[in-house]
Amino acid sequence: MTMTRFPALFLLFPILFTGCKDDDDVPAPIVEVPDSYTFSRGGQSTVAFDGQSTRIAMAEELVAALRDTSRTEAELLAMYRNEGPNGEDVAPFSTEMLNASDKSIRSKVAAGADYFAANVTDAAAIRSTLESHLSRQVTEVFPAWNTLAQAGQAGQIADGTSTRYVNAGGLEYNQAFAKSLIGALMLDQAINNYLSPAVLDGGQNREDQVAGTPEAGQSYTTMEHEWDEAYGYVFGAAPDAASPLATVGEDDRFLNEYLGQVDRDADFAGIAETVFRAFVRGRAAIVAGDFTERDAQTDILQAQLSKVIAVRGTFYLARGADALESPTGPQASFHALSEAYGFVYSLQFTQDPATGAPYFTRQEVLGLLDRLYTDSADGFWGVDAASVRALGEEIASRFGFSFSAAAN
Amino acid sequence: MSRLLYLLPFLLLACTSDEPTTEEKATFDRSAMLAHWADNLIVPAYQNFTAAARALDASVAAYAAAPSATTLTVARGEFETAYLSWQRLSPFMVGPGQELRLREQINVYPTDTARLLGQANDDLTLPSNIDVQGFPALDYYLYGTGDPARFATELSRLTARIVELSAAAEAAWTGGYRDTYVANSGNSATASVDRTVNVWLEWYERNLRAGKVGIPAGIFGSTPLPDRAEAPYHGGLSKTLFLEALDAADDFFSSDPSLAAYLDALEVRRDGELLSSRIRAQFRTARDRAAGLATDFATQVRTDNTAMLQLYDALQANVVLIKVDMLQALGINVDFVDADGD
Repeated sequence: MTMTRFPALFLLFPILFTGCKDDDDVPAPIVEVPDSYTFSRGGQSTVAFDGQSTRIAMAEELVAALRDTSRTEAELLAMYRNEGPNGEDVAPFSTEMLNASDKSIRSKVAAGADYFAANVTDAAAIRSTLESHLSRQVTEVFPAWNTLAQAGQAGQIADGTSTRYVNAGGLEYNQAFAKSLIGALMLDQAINNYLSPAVLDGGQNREDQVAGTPEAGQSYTTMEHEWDEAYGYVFGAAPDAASPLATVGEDDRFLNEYLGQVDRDADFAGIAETVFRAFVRGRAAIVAGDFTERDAQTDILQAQLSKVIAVRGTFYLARGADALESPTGPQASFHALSEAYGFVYSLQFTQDPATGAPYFTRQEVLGLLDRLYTDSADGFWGVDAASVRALGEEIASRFGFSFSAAAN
Repeated sequence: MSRLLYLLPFLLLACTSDEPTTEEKATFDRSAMLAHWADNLIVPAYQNFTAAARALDASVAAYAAAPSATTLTVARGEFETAYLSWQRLSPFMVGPGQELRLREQINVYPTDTARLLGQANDDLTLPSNIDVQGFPALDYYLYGTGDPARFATELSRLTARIVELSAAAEAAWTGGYRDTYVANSGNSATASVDRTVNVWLEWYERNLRAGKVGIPAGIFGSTPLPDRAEAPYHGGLSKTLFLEALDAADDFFSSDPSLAAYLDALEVRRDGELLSSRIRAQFRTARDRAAGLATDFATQVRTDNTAMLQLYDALQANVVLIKVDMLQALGINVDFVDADGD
């Protein structure tokens, strides 16, 4: 008897749930959710995220320059700061558009309101850590470009048919920098700043939104623009930024790339769609003045984008551990471990919507990194596969996915 | 009770896929298969290749000592022989071959001709110099420069390096690794059967299917790339090299006792037919499709790329049979992944 009843009951569940949801929605404003990230006011588009596309483009050039030995330390730092040592104007980029910009990578590193508005101490430490990767690439790795690396000696290592360039401990500074930047710039700005209710509700934002008052000389309100700026850090380099899912993973080498990579793992398939839909729905909620619905979408985005960092960190730890045990280890593991190093560093910029705090605090992250890599001649040369896997297990378990789901 | 019922389909699924492998595995002698691979395929491939590399090295030395049309012809002939011999060894970069990175240092193409002309004294052991050595660099010096005698010293350096690498790996195989390899006959990610099959399959996908056929045919881009063909400066060798590699792939699968016999012992069928027959038939299809192609694949993709694409499809059909059907039946996990490009 129980058996025959069960399926019938299950069939009813979706209907029951839908019913509840509709009831809740009744008193709230009506949110019209478009299929693409397209919003307008008075016939004019209100969507804008030029600043984010610009910073992504600057970061692309800087990361590429880290493998160009003709670059000087001063040039790399000028690209990072978009100014000279004394604050003077510089033109370090290949395009006029980037050189003319008053934006910079550094000014938005560890600058999210939620974590760093009242913690300039950590912000300064993070900025100089990233800067030191750039400097040390030039001072330690460039001079050893045509040297075979060994424990205590910077230089080249083979990774299949690719050549990687590592410091004396086996760390690729270019990977450490690029993957740390995903957390410190793209993720932090998106989920801890522009999607944060603290920022979205700043000043007169709510009143202006409800009244439909745009910024001076613009078609968008401040709140709309802030939401767009978060969107820009994920989809700002897409050729069709209004419908970016077709190219997700191919549009930059930062958050977009790894959202796409995680989406291609069958265990996490659909995450890119979830993220995109939450951006669209949240933006539509802002237009409708439904701030409860907006914050619900922020929660989704914080959890999902944080998970991208954790899954990729775990993935590279798993891959590095396997490579440590292969006949070509330990060198064959250094590329994966260097990527993992950056992703683990980025965990301090995640945000658990349930607590408003990172899934791993900065102190915890520094502890994880100490177990992965010591800044010494030993570095990755001395790490063992079991402890690398243990780090991955720890991250996976904190986020509630399985190590093996991320590892394959 | 009702909860357990939901699990039933999964349990049943697990049973059907596991049963034949676990039950029948004992009836097939994996150690004998490993001994066959080592003694009849891998070690002979090393011995033949090292001998061919030494002959090439000697002929290049003779050419360097007395450059003439005759000594050049001899050196070019030894180049062809050794390059052909390499096709029989390349699938087996397991153990010492992998550790010494033989394939990466012997046959990465296209070669960097600007650097070959410019800075000849590069340290050949550096990972960044894999594209200025091995057969592709020899191909350029011997056939692409108009005056190989100018590069006599470089030719000798390159052939000596090939001998050094091959001899070292061969010595490791005959000096103890062979026994370790055969003894490691279990079924795990690090066991010899799993490793060898993975290495062979990865080679089949990357080096045979993609490197020799797919990439020149432009399968990963939008247009054919004739300059990515193997031995492009020789201009008449790439089909021969491909066919030799295809035979090497087939022999590894079909010679007895190998994977075909293993599958037959487990009575693995697909659509009613023995899986081993399907895979062998697909090797024949590929050979048939290649038969009508130009001796130079660079020429082929320029004149009629469709025929090249059809060859690619034939090779790809076997990837599916091998990677999905065969590996599942043998309980072997794929341990290689596509590089993520950065």
